Amino acid sequence: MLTLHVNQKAHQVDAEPEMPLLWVLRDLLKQTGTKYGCGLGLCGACTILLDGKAIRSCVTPASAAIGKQITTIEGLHPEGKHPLQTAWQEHNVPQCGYCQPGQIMNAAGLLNAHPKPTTEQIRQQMAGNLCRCGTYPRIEKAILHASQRS
Amino acid sequence: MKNELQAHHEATRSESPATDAPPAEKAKGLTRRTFLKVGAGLVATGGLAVAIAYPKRYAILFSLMDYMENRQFDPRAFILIPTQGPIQLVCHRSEMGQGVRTSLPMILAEELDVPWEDIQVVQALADPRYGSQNTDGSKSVRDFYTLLRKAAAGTREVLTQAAAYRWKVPSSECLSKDGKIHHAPTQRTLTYGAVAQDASQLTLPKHPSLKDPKDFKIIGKPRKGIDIAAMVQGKAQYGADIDLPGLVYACATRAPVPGAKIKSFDDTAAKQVKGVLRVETIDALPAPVNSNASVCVVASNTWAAIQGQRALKIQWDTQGLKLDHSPAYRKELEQALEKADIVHRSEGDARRIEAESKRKIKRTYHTPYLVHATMEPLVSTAHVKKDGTCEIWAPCQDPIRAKKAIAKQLRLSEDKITFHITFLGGGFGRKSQPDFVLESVLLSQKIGLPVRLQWTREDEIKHGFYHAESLQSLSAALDEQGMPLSWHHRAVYPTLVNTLWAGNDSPMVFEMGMGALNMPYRIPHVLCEAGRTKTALHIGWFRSVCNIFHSYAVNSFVDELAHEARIDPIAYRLKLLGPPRQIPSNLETHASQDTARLAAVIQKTRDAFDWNKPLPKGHGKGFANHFSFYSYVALALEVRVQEGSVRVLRAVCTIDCGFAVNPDGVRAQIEGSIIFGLSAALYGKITTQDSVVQQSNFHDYPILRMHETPHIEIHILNGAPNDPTGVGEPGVPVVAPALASAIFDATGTRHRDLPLAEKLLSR
Ligand code: FES
Ligand code: FES
Repeated sequence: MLTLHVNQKAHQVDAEPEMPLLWVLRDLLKQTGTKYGCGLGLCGACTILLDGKAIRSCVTPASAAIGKQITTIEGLHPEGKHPLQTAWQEHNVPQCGYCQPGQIMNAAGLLNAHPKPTTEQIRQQMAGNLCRCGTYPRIEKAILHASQRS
Repeated sequence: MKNELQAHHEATRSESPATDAPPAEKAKGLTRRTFLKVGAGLVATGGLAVAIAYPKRYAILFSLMDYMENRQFDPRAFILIPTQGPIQLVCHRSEMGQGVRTSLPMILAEELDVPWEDIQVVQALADPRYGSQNTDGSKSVRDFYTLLRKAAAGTREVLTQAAAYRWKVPSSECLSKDGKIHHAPTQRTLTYGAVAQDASQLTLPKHPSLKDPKDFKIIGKPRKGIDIAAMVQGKAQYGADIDLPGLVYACATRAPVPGAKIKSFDDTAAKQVKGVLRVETIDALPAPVNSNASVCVVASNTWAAIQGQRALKIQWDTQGLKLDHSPAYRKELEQALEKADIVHRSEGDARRIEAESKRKIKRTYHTPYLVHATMEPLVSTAHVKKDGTCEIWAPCQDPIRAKKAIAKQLRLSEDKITFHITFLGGGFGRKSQPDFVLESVLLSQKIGLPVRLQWTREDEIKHGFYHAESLQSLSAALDEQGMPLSWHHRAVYPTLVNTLWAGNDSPMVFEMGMGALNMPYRIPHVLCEAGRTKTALHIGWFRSVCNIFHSYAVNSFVDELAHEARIDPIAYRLKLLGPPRQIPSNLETHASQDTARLAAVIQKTRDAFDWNKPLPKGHGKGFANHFSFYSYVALALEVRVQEGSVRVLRAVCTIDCGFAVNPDGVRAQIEGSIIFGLSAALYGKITTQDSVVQQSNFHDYPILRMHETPHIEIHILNGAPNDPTGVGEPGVPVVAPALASAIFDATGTRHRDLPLAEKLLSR
């Protein structure tokens, strides 16, 4: 049994320590907002925050989160109104929407480190998150917008 | 012909009685019939009935498939009005990012006269009453615009009538507005909900009066996606997000080559993985399902299933199979191109004109296999229950086709199957194939439990229904001004029709009709021919399909001709189009074209891009235009090439999609199409060794990332008010040729082989 802190709540999970957080969250804790895209840290669909830093949950073993705070898209804001979530809607970002939880969590990690990122910083930081539908131009605008407001 | 139609009719017949739609509602179906007639005309012009009779047969069958499905269209199935609470509008097509859960309900809400804020969108189950649910071909809005307007307008009329009866006043005195019926003389109001019960007893009018488009309040106005709030909170349910009591999780190792059999396997190590429950085999299913034989690991969670899958040791039997090896297949295509003789269009005598001409030019273009790489890998949850029913939850583009295949496989009648369509994390044509759904059904049947079968990214890349590899040559005889007197286009690529009916070895006319035989330029002598080839891979629909490589070859060749003639490529195109004319329709896949509308998108793009402005050193510009899915698109790109790498800086694109129902949705689709097209043009390449796909994940099948994305500017022209045409796909085909031409403009080197990034590096 491992104890994990997810979205401010402690959970006892029956997982091998090397089981990636992605599957702990999705299959054991039924928090399905975090998505699987590649399993190799290449696409960013599985991005979550670990102590406020954006990480790839598909390549992060559960053991690495012991004693740390996990934040997923479900816990980013109690009413789903984080400035990024609001800006995302204002710019009508999602197409299929599948990559978006990962995009938003990666952007949240970026804003934690750089509250007022430049366009260049946004483009470099977000380069790890793929969107097959091609919503990048809107993501870029939404992040800029959210950072200017907060 | 007759037998096939009958057979097809049998195949598409559903359990519920077919309600014959009133004549007006078959408008699109009838249009298709007209195409068929003109199509026959094409045969006569070509004068080679024998050579093309074979492909034509299938083109007609394709048209009829949708026609037959839409015959069962029931307008009453789309609007649910409860006595109290929000009105529910049904979306019967699959949402995969193209915005259909917004655009279709917009059409209904408009004619029903309900405020957008007061509606709820409900996803339809797979059900023939909705007409075609095959979400493909950029036709959700195009095919259902009028049908849905009539369904909603008819509903509004019976609601009004029901209120009039209740009040005992003439219905001409009653008006509908904002979800209510008003009787002005007595100042009375009834909500739709209050009269819905009565209205449901009335017959829907066959020819309800539709709104004048100038009175539209919802259609034609930019509207945000109805589901975005759920999406940004992680609440939208995709294929892998369905939870059921007792659900088990599975992964499968599939035969590396279609047709290969399991010789033997060792699951000792797999069964030792903690959480693995059992290991099962599933048989291959033939066309039209086309699933490979597989060994499945069933586990208590996905991670255990993946670990178990990796621990399997399987011997495959590939004896007697044709195995492809990419370099050898390329040679095969070259030989096939030399022999290409299946005539798809012939006017004048292109061969003689070219032979007699002193000035001529010939070029060959090659494009590789591509894979969809939807962000959501394939996944399907199925429960074959003990009571003889079956329930499915899947991100499926063509649920009716999947449901029919399940019914056949399980020997169940279709009414015993409940098929839920989840959100699709991208589709692009891959999720219209039913293989992944059938696998989950067969596995659930075997183990007697609800099971979610999850594909890994590697599975998705290696077991695709690929966009075909192609080789094409174009040649022309030129006059003194460098304008073509003749045009000879030859193309060879494996046909995608084999996923439906095995055994075909050349492109169908509906495939050649996507941009090859219907190229819009006015040239006196035209010959368009296809060659024969077969591949061991499955070929499938891929966002904009054959338009991609046809547009690449045609646009690149025109660019080369312009360069030869020392004329600006846009000016050259406009000259080649000549005075405005209508190119008549032939078959379903090539509607009639209005060259004036094509010229308009070309000119708009040229001006918005500021085409004649000189560019800095090292920069280049490229242009392409293409007509597909009934829409006209032009794209101009600016690139910078430096040290063997290309950066796309700017894209200016114009689409004439007839009439944009949701302009912001159109914009989003074109942005996405340009990025999708750049991924393919720069990086997209699937290769095989002994028919085993060599790529496996995003490191060796890269797609465009944010820092590589150009600044995108989009213009929308409404060239046919009130006649919306395709949007999801037509933005893709222009990208690769515009990029190749821009690189040529910047460097002086012309690349005729895709993808482009590796060409630049290898120089
Ligand atoms: S699923 Fe984790 S990076 Fe792709
Ligand atoms: S919105 Fe579909 S993958 Fe990003």
